[in-house]
This record gives sequence, structure tokens and C-alpha cells, in this order.
Amino acid sequence: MAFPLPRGTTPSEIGFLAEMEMVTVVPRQRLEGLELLGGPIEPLVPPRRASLPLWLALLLKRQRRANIMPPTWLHPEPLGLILEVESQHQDYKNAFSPPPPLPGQPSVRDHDAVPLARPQYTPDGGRYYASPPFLPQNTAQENVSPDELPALPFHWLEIGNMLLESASDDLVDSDQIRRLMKDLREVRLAKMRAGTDVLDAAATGGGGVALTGVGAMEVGEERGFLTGVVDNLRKIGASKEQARREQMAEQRANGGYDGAQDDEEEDYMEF
Amino acid sequence: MCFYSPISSISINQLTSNTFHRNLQHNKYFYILLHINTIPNVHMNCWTLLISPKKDPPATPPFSRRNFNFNSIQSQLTQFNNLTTRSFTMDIDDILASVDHGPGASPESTAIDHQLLTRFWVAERAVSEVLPWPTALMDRMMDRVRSQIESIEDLAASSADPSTTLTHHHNPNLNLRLSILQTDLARTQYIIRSLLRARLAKLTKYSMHYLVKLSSTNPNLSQSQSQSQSQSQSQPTPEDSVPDISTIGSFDPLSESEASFVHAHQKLLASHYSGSFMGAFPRQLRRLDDNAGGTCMIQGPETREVVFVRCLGAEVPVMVVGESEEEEDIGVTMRMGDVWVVRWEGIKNAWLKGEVELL
Repeated sequence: MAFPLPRGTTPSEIGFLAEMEMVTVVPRQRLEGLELLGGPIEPLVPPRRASLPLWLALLLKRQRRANIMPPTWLHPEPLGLILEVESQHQDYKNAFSPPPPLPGQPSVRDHDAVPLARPQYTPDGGRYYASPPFLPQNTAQENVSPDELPALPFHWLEIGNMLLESASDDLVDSDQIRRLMKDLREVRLAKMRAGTDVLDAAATGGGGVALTGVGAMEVGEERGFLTGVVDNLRKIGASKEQARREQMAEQRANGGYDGAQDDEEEDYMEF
Repeated sequence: MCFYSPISSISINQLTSNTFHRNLQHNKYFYILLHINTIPNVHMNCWTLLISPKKDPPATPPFSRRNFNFNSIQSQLTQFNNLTTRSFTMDIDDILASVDHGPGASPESTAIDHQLLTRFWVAERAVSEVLPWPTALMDRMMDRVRSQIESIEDLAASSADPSTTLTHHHNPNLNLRLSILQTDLARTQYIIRSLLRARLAKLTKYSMHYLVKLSSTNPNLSQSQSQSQSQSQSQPTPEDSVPDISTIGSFDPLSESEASFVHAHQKLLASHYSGSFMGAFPRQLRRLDDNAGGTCMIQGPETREVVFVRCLGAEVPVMVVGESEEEEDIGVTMRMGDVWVVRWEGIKNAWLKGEVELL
């Protein structure tokens, strides 16, 4: 067997990806800059803060060579605020709280702003849009502007757990954080389960189910169940889909296509 | 198209002079020309060496350093002239930006390559079909891994050598540095290994599908297949149904070694089948790609399975893929930053353009 793992990243692989997130550290000793395969790392000069990938920060932390500054969202107050949004806010009854915006994406408050994706370029000349775990979503920011809402980053569960496990002495009130993380996880898990009802939308061609704001570990957890349900729904509805496709082709052949026919797109729901 | 004019003023004669690279160092337009031409191929390194305004120019002319082929400049220039006459729809902002983030910025391109590799690995793990092999990216990554191993070995040798205790004293962090470098190397090697194994698993599972796909992209092959069919009239064996891929030029979506692997694998499997049970079958049932009765025996990956995607472009529509390839309707539209559960076939083209990311 060349590869025994199932389709989709497994929880340990998701943890591996989360370890690529950048975090802020305060080094306790000097270390010259290194050219790693994951990109260069800056020289460490105490007490200047530096951004390092989480795996390296944890390696230094375990050897007491550095302290990790907790990410901006990993404090009791922002977590409490996010929990309130997740559990009380009307708009997010059936949806996850909004994730931190990608570069160029307008924040949740200005709905009208047009997103302007800012690509970087690959050495082959292709466009490249950065995304987690390669965005500075878990660094400790000095001055957070009051407009900026706290948001859970994509790898929140993994990073929170890893920091609680290995660097709890660097966190502010780690017991409270642990409690809030547990509550958040339960609220979000309940939403994920309640969303099973709308999965039919993902089983039709061109349809889909929005999961915006979901975390990486939550995707990994739900992948097996969700893809299994959707695949079975698709097989059950295969004849229906075939019939509809033939009907569409017929309409197109007749030359008449009125907009009233595509109400199938309307029955998807966000959750 | 005014921005091309400075390029045409550089004649070939000028190029022959040894000092020309200095004149060009700050000629961004010329850089653009080179950059456009070299996008698909791997000459990039030579060009970077030539053009990038790095600290001090090398003492020897750069041509001799990397047995530089002068003819390639000429051919590239003519290629470029052809290119300009064709309708050329590359946004100038894109080009300028790609120069700024181009191959000259090597530490940054290391980071971007690492991110691309990670993203490709996650994607390969998330879908059931084999994704197009990113030849240039993998070549660069393998080169980097190789040179990193060398530098780690050098560092380890210097720490083990008792005669260099002086430098050891001088640098107390040597062991720490070594362990960081080795951890980083192991992480990258893990990604590459997992990626290759995931691809191999898919290839062995759907080997016939990919062989037929490889042979169908190459027109020469239909002849050899009909030949093998005519041979098989006399004494058909399951091996005859394995398409011959020795003559094909493009291995898309596989890499060359993957293609030869899957061919050898299927040959072995076919001869095993024929030895163990297929030899006893009636003649007309001995082919592995039999599609009698309207049912094709070749199993392919299911492209209608759902995947988790994040939309990275401003807006990406999910396509409804019909029976025939050309008729496509638009389904729901994803907005930037959204995460959706959608069919893989509906967003495959957007993925190829890098506008969505698989999770």
C-alpha cells in the first residue's frame, strides 16, 4: 500500500500545518539569522521581538531560550467577545463568527466595499494569493485599532491548544482561556451539527454550502461525515439531476431561457 | 504597447559585448523582457545571475560561470518579437509587480515556494484525482533540499572536527542551529514524501485510467494502439490492452518518472492477471479496457466529490459541469475569504488559476 491515509488532511497533519503559523517571540539569547527551506528567519537579539514559525518558537520555548507572546486574539477579553458573538448575535445564529480578513478583503463592517485581492507572484510568474497559515494572524500586535474586531484565525483550535500545553506560563490567565476555548468549541460544534440539514445544496452541481469562518480542525473533523453524506445524497439524486440537465438542454435547444427557471440556486442557505 | 520600445533598441550586437549586463542592470524593461520569456522554463537562474543588482558583480563574466548558451538569448529575443506581434494580454502592472517579486528576490521566493508546495500538498491530499505535476516548483524544491543537506553536513562536520574547537567556542549555538536546520529539513522532506506517496496511491488505484489518458493526449499513440489491436487478433493477452507510452512527449498530469512507474506497474499487473486467471477466459474477454455492453471497465477518480475550498480571488463562480465539456452554467458565486463545500469539478479551473485554495 503506497499510502494508507484517507482523502483529506488528518488531524496530525492539520497540527503540522498550524505549526507553520507565525507567532511573536521574545528571545532570551542571541541567535544569528538562518536560511531555512521555509524561508529565512531573522536574527534573534534579546529583548527585541521577532516573528518565528510556531514549530520553531515551541522548540525554543521548550529549551527556555525564548518566551512566546500570546496572539492578539488569545486573551480572555477577545475570546469572551467572540463567544458572545457566536452564541448571542442574531446574524450569526447559524453561521460561524467572521474570520480575520485576507489581505485586501474589507472588514465585516463595511459591506459595500469591493474586495481587492492583492496577489503576489510566484517564480514561475503565476499569481499567488497568501492565505493561512502564511498570514500574520497569530502574531502579537502592539496597537490594535478599535475598529478591528477580534476574530478567530483558521488554526485557532490547534494554536490555542499547543500554546496552552507548552507555553501556558506566557498566557494571561490561562485557566480562563482554557474555559473560553472549550465553550467556543462546543458552540461551534453544535452549529456544525445543526448545519447537516442544508447539505443537500452541496449535492447538486454548481451548488454549495458556505462554512465561512470554520476552523481547520473543524474541517478535518467533519470532512469524513460531510463528504460521505453529500456523496450519498448525490448518488440518490443522480437521476433527478440527469433529468434536470436534459430539461435544460431541451430548453436551450428551443432557444427560450427565462430567468424564472433557475430558482434551484436560491435554496442554498448559509449556516 | 509603448513599453516595448526600449527593448527593441537593444540590438543583438550590443548583447555580444561582455559588459552589457552592467548596462542592463538597471534597465527594468529589459528585465521584463527576460522575465516574460523565461516564465515557463528554467533558465531563470542564469538570468537572475545576469540581471539582479546584487552586491558586487562577479569577477569573471557570468557567461562562463554557468556555461551560458548565447544562442538562447537570440532565440528568446526572436520568440519575444513573435510574442509582441501576437495579441499579448498581460497586464503591465502584473509584469512590473512580478519583476519586483521576481526571481531576483531569492529569500522571498524560497518562502513563496515553500508556501506553494504546502498548498499543493494539501490540495493533493484533498482531491481524488492526480493534480498536474508542478515541474518547475518541484525542481526548485529538490535543488534546495539537496543544497540544504550539503550545508547541514558541512556544519555537522565542522562541529565534530576537534581541530575546530576554536570556532566551536566562538559559536556556542552550533548545536541549536543544527537542530533547527535539521527540523526544518525534516518538515520539508515530510511534505514531499507525503505528496509523492499520495500521488502513487492514486496512480496505482486508477492506473489504467491514467495510462489511457496519457495515450489519448498523444496522437501518435492511436497508431500503436491499433497495431497492438491487430496483433491481438492472433493471440490476445491482457498485456496488449496496456497502452504503450514510450513515445509520448507530454506526461501531463504526471511527472516522467510517475508515468514510467505506472506503465511498468500496469504491465506487471496485466501479466499477473493473464497468468493467474485471464488466460483461461474466452478471447474477446481478455482485454483490460473492455467496454462491451456500454459499461467501461476502467475506473477513474470521482470528480464530483465535494471538497472544502477557500475563495482567494475577489469573486469565483462555481461551475455546473454538464455531460459535454463545453456547456457550462454558473451556479453559486463565492466571495473572497469564504469557505465553501462544493463539487471539485465545479471549481477545478479556478483552482488551476490559483483563485481558490483547497482545505
